[in-house]
Amino acid sequence: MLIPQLINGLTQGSLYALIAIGFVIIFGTMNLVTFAHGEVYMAGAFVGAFAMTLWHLPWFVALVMGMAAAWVLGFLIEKVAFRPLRTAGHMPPLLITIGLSIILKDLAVVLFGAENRPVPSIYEQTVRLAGVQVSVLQLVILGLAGSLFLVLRLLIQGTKIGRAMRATAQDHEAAYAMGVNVNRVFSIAFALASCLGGAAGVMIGIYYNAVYPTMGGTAGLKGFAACIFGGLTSIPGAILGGIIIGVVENLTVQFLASGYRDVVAFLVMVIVLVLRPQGLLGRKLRTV
Amino acid sequence: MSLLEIQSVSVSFGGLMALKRVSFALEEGEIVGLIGPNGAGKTTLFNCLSAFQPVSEGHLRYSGVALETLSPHQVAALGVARTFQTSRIFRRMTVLEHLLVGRHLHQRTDLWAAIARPAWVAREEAEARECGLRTLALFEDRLLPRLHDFAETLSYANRRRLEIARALASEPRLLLLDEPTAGMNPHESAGIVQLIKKIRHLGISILLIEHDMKVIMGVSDRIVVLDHGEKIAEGLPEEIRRNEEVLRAYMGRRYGRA
Repeated sequence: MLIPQLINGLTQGSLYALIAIGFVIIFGTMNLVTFAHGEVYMAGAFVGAFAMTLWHLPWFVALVMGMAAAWVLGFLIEKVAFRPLRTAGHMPPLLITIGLSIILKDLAVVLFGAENRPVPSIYEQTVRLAGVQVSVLQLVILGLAGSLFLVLRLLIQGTKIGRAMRATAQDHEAAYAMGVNVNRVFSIAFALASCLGGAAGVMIGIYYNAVYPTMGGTAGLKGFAACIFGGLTSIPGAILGGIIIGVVENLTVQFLASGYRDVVAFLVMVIVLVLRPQGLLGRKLRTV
Repeated sequence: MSLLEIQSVSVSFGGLMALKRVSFALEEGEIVGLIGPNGAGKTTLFNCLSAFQPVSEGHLRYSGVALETLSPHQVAALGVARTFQTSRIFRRMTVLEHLLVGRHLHQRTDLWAAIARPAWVAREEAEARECGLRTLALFEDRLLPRLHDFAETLSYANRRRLEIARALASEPRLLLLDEPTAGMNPHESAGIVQLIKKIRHLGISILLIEHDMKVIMGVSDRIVVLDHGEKIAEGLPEEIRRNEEVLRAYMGRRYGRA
């Protein structure tokens, strides 16, 4: 029973990781924590669900639509809610994101209803891999998450845009003076983070066959936790953090009881953070 | 037409006039020194020129283009690079990466190109790297051996050099240097004088804020003196050295206090 639970954990963890990376990108570029990220994920999930149920589109088209919708939503949130507050310090944007999270959730309830909306399942068959039964859907999700990690790495490693994002995070005035359009960098970072969240939303909807307006709450919290767990500004750290949380949860369900899954997951995180306050792959904060 | 024309520029912070109708010009290829006691408005003027600070009145013209309505990145795109009074390096980026950020405006790799990676992206990166290394060669063996070190591990003087290197990598036509020798020892300051002379040889015009009189007298073609936001003198270094009002405003107060 261990291997299938590990695969379940890996699948779920890779989706947590996609959400966690969004927190890393936004924090790493704007030094900002957003509490509306879970709701962006929920919005992506709804768009994906509608694409499949109302318009009967194939799942990958639904995925692209969910990602595009989340991209646009993130772009708009940055423009409307954050840009005017760029110089207002840390607290006002934080409060704005809490407000936005509530607005988006309630808007979803008003527009789509509070109840679960079913999402058709895909790839229900299983295959035998090295003696273990694995669901094809899980393989699809893992492959997808892996490709998104790769694309992201290509995007920010050794390119102009990646350097501009890091430079902006470390000293946005100096970056501005070097010709980096920092407002554009903020837009792209927010949109990119949202897009990955939207992808996770669509895939979770398919994985659990349901979407609902409050689905972003726990997912956002788990993603944020994975981001801190991994070291706040490290993308590999966020991936590792997300996967560990996913695996621990699933092993708890299997060997303890399903009611303990969040308790054990957060307990493991607390223990690691007590021993390693900078997170798994984070750097030590130095006091100067 | 001058490369840079500052026309009756005023800046007020609330009731405080940081700059009062300051006018002067900088010709192509020239090094102009900007001096004055602390709080004279020198850095405020730099901030206006690089579009971080809006001007309350007056005009800034850079080779005929009005700067006062632009954003900092647009000013940089015109070929105006600057350094900051306090070192503004990217702490967690390597020396080479600073130079590559300096090449930002010369690169065209966008989101899609970064993902699709057509062949020209690798070429562009190689070019940027080469250009960065050429720029670092101006600093002799100060920065080149530390190519892959994080900026936060550099010595203070090297951080300041790195900031100048980053600005130079953008191939500016006009370089604004804000106290490049601040906190340096006499030997290091002499090195900066040599560096500024090399930069001039590249055909880059320089506006230089500096407190070290040896540096400013040594490299400036002309000197502009600010005091309390007003221009009180402008002229050749030897003229400024003898100017009564400058001595009173600048030296007088400094020595009068001691």
